[in-house]
Amino acid sequence: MPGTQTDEIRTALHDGLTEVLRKDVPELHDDMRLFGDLALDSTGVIELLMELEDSLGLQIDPDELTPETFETVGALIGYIRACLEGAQDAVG
Amino acid sequence: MTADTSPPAGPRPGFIARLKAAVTGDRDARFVHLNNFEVERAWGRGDPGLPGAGLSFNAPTVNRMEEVGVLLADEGDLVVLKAPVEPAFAAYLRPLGLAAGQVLTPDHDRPEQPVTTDALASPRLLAQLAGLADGRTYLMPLGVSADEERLAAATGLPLAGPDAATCKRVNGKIFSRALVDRSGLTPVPGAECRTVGELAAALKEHLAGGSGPVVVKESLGVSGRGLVVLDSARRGEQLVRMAARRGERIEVVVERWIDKEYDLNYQFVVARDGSVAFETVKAALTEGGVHRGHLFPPPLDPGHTAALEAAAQVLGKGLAQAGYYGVAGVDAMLGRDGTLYPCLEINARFNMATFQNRLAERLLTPGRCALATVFDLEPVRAHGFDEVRAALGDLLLDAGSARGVLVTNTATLRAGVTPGRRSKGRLYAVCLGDGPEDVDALRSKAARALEEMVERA
Repeated sequence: MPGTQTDEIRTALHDGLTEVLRKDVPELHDDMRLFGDLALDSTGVIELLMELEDSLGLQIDPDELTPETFETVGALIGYIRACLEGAQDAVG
Repeated sequence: MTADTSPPAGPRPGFIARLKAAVTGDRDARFVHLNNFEVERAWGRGDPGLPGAGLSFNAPTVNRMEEVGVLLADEGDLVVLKAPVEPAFAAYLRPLGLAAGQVLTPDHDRPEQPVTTDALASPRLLAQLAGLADGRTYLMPLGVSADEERLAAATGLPLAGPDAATCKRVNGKIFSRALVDRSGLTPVPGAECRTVGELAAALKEHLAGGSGPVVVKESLGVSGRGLVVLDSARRGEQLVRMAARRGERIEVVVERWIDKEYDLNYQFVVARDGSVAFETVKAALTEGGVHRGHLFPPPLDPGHTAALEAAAQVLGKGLAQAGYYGVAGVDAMLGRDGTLYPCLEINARFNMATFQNRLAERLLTPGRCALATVFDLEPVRAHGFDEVRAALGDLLLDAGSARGVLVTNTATLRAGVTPGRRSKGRLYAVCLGDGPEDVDALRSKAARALEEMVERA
């Protein structure tokens, strides 16, 4: 179910950001900016990707990443959902 | 005491005249300053780095750091800026002797693009620059990449530095580590890695046995970007897997984490004849782990200062042998156990410290102290210099005063602002005072005043 999957991704993203930023992270809304509002920085991107790979069983292709992917919470959730769907399609 | 803190009296020429003599042989040459911050992006184009590390999130602000170049230009020099200096800010700097050069701007300031790209796309500016070619006028970029070579070719102005390929090579952390190893200077334990296999081996070695975290840095990473701290073998293996998805080539260094007393930065000038002149050393000031700025002169014992001056000679010779001449800044570290690591990386280009050289010669009198700092603010609209002046009040350094906060860049306060939305803005400044405690107190008061300014908005 897309809604359920989005909720799972949002929870994993929240946990990942809490780990990477080492502070309490507020409830995530789609229009929140990862850098402007949540204070993620470039160094944290790699750590966050690792956290998400662990928690969601993702395999991220680093060459696919663009600044737009990390613009907002909603954009990153959309990218992760596409990654997961792509992996499912590949499996069958 | 450092060289650039000398009073202006006496026969010693100022920093820019010394630099001109070193890199052109003519201390009366004319510079066209072009402060292409984050030139590493151009150097690293197409190079395999760390996953996700090449993303840029604040390009408009970083690209306007170049405004600080107006403080460095000497009388008769020119400065290419993406946009004119705000008149109120220029009027503030002029009586301090810190807006001596003439500012040239391109037809369009495209916020996402660095200054050189804007210049190359501006026929009017290209014609203006071409009109300056007189045999003793030089383009003086912060660092030379292929873009600055294109600008030199398009304008007929020679570069006051070596070619882009040389600059790129000597700015890599891989070059720095290899030079440190060859020179017998104390290295941070670690390794240079040119393949994912070498990265895997280095991480296995340095993450084994719980010897503490390691830092993996892109060879051409800059300003805290392009690095990741790993604290377990599992994370190390994960990074290797991610990197391997892009192929076997990678350009990174792996270094053990060192508990430090302070970060240090020193700069020197390598002349065309290979001679090396030490300029300054500065220490990063932190409080509770939070970076407050760079302090100069730093609280170093004379033995450490002498060791850094000796390291500058060794590194400068290595740079000269590699074909480099010009300004070099070196990041160093004093470990908590007292070990001095004299070279973590070489930045063979202008550094933030370079932009403080000329103002220090004019404003920092012997026995006094300066803290070069940045205020990270969250403005919801653009603030002009008049507002900054009103907010700082008596804290602002004015002509005739020896103590206060000298604002060195206001463009970065506005460049990233999305009106009506809390945005990221930076105000650069140098606090001048009687000693480390005094300048830190000035900084704290100024930070509160500026935060109140943006909150009121």
